[in-house]
Amino acid sequence: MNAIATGHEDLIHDIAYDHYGRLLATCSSDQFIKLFTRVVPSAEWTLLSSFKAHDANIFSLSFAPPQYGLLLASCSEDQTVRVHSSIDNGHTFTKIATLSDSGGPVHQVAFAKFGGHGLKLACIGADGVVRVYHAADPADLRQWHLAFEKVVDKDGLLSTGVAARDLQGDFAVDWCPSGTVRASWFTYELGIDMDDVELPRVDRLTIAELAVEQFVASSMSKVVVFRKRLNGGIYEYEPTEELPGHTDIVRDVAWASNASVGGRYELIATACKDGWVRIFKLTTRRMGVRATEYQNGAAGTVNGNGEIGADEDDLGYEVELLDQFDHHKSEVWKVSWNFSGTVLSSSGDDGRVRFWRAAYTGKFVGLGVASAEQGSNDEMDE
Amino acid sequence: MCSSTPSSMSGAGPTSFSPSVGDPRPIFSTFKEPMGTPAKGSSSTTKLFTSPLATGRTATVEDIGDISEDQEEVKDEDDSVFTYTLQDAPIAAGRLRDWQDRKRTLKFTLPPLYNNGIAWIDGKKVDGEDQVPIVPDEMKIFPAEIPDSAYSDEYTKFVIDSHELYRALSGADQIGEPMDRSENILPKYATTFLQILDAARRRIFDERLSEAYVVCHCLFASYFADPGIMRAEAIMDWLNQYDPRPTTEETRDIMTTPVPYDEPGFWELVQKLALRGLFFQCSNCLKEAGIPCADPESKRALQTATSILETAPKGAQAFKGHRQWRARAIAFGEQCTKLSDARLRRGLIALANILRGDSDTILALSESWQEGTAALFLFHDPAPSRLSEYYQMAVAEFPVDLTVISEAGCAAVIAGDIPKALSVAERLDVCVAAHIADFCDRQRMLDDFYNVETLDLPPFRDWLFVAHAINCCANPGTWFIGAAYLRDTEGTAGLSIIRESITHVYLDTEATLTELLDLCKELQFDTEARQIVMAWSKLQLSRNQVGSALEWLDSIGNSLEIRAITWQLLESNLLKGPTLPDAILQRYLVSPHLCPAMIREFIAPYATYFAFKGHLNEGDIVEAAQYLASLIQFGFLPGRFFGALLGELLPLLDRSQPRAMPTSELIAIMNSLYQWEKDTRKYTEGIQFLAKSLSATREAVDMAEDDWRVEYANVSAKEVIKLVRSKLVTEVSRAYLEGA
Repeated sequence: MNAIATGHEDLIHDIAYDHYGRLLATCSSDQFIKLFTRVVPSAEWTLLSSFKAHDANIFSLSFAPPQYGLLLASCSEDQTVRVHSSIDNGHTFTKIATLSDSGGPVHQVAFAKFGGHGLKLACIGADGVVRVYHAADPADLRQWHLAFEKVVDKDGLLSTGVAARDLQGDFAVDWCPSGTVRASWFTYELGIDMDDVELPRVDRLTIAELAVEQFVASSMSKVVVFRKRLNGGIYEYEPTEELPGHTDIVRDVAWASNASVGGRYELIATACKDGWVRIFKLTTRRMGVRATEYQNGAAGTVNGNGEIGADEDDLGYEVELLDQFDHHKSEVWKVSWNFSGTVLSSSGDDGRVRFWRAAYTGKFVGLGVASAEQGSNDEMDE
Repeated sequence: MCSSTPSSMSGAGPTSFSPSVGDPRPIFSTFKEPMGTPAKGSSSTTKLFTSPLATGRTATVEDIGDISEDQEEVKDEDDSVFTYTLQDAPIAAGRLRDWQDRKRTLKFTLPPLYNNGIAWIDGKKVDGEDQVPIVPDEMKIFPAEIPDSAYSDEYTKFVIDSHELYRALSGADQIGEPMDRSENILPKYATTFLQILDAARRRIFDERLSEAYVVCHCLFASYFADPGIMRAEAIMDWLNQYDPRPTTEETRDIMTTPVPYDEPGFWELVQKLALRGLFFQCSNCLKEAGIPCADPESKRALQTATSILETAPKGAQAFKGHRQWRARAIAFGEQCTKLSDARLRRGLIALANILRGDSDTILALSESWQEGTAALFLFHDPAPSRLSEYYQMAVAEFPVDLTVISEAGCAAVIAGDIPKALSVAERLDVCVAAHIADFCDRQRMLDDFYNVETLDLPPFRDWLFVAHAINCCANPGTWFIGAAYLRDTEGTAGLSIIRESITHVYLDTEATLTELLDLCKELQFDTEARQIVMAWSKLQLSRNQVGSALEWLDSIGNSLEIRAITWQLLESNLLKGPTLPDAILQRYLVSPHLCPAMIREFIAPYATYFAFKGHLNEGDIVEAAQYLASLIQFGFLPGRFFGALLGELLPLLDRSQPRAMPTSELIAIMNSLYQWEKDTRKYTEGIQFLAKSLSATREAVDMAEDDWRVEYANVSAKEVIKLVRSKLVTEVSRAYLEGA
């Protein structure tokens, strides 16, 4: 298919697809958002609408899950996140909310993809703070509640929390697309006496699916997983695991679906200024044991059986670097997964889009390259 | 957008197969294959993991670890993967550095389900540096797809046909039950699959698909041949299709001469025909060559030769008759040593040596390992257990060219390394590989193979089907086929992928919606079903099919949405004037008893307003007034509608027409008005809404003449309320005076 002239009058900073891949939104430094549509996936994109959405460069876009209607979030150098709604399939958009809590330009915005999480919007800005907004009433999407905010990392930030002007900074956020993870815990047979509880042995290993709500955020070179947990009676997102090894600014993060591995582990890809594409594997740790019930016996030793289970608050990951590639030999700016988490694309300063696919062993191998440079061979390069 | 038929690669390749007698227990390969063709498969690993059939020893995890260094070396070279150029590529050839100096970078995103994404150019803002002017290419977006993932219409047909065959086979086959050869239905289905694949490759002209066909044909010939023919015959048939020799031209060049026997290449032709098992052609050549028979022995020898050729054992009894036939060939060879004509003697002895399976002769006359293997197998001893032995002999003379993917795959087939063959097939075409693996699995050919790295991996057959199914799901028109395959795989991955992708399937028709919901019901995907219904109802709303949207929301019990939509209906009518309801909604309004209970409850306000307008249009102002009055007095009426509804009263309070409402009703309305004005929030909302309604009237082009706002368009909202109050008071006094 031919290249498409978007009609933007400045550089394009992001594109986003709606849930079905039928609508495509682009945003630009010209402060406009443009919507394109195609009748079938193989058809050409045609312009559907165009509107001025912000008062400065627009950095990022995200569509909400479709059960909330056609909603598009955008974020900008003007330090706001805006939510736009369309009731005519994208022909016109109306701004329904402006979220202005950021202390600096907002770099990335992302709706939670898993519909079971409710309508939630995460964003991260140059103040290094990741924020999550929640639309409590789906019938009134003008009302958004700031449910959570936290500084990802203070490194490189001034005391005011804003990125130093002489540093190139970057910040990214992405939700885990899966609503459940497979976790395991032990069931014990309990032997209890008058004075203490005994745990004689592991009886069996239970594997089940736990509901989970989590996202990954990056601030400069730090990448952290945030997971929703019960803390002092309140659910909030806690920083849990860090994805280590980045020696420079992380440009993008992308969380893959765990569907193709049956939820056994998670994959997160990062694009880094150090030229490396990294794929991290997060495997659920064997969860800790916590008594849920026990019985007191009469005088002497009474054996009772109880199940010791665990729940979402005990969930944790072992993080390992599964694969890394430096084929771009230059800064990598973007990573993107296919729907099943079996193909990763990376792109960057070498003018190439590189594709990596999951081999049978779970490792990733090169699949192909799409070059933006003319004259690249259609066969293998010499 | 891109050409995807690369030629054979050159460059770093794996070691060749090392010939040695096989270990009886092959070990599962690691599938880290070097790239033979750039379009599919892995990129840059090096050494082929040699099967124990080749090395004669059991592979271990350490072996896999040993090749990691080589892997790293090749991994650093990104030249070993398939590269294509974006259509209208924005960077001129050789000008990448200039482009980078402009502080530009490339970004790319994939869509939620499909494999064709968008690339675009972004700039790298560095504080303090001047921005480089934008050029037109930098305001474009560039479609790009995952290599080798998009289905053409023709390929989609192949996928559909393959799936139909798979379903038929699944229905006919009892998986897990050992089959004896007479009951084995697999050869029949294998033949059909091969025909489907052959038809596809002829339509599609894709080199990789053609190569996949070669591998598939080789494997089916080796393991799924028609029970009516000998395995050696099937393999020879495969070779003759894959690499037909001698060519028609070669044969014609010699046999159309006046005396073919005089041609220098005559005996080469005869020997090649014999080597390829083309016995009747060989016999005819001998008969029609014009061979001079100077003596009776020569004539007898020729007759014997043609007789042996024409009675070569074929079909189901071929194996049994082979020994006897070979004995005849041996005797014939001895007979030929006595011939006086030297040329004839040499030629016929060579022919006899071929027919009796003399390995030296066969290998000397062969031109490839495939030819040598097939000929040795056909002539020396067609016992299946000897195939690998002949293969080793042939590759000692003619190493396998592993740079040709199909050749590597066929070598693996002949060597008995089925996982390797499947791995090669997967790099060519995952649909073909998956179906081949299915056949192998049904024949229990994969039972002895296990993975040395970890036992946690899924069965390879399942992994291939999952890979194929993912491609199906990511291509329009084949999602349901992908889902069907996924359901048949072991473990949770298949269902997880269905769950992940099902909500992304575009709801183009109600038929698609129904099919998706049926699947959700079957698989107990309740959450996904709700999401799909919600999304469909939103789509219906955007198409002004409100009734349909409400019905679907009712089916999932979403009262919140129903309530929101029904209030929205009222609001829209108050703002824009009455609109014609869609057919479903109309039916509910006219016949409430047909309306589901939940919808009936929430739609009541709108239905009341609709009835009010209906009676008003018919001139039945008393009835109209009753409906309007009941709506105004409705306890759950949102405050913002109150002002607009009061405004609707104005035509009914006209003194020039008969009184529309009884005194009690008037007083009740006045009381409601009073309560509304007392509530500051509701009053403010109501005034704002009324003002908006009046403003809409002023801007409207086609306002209905009987809309009350036409007369009051330039009156403020508060003035309208004041007027309503005044008219209500007047009406009450009128009623008093009339003695009501």
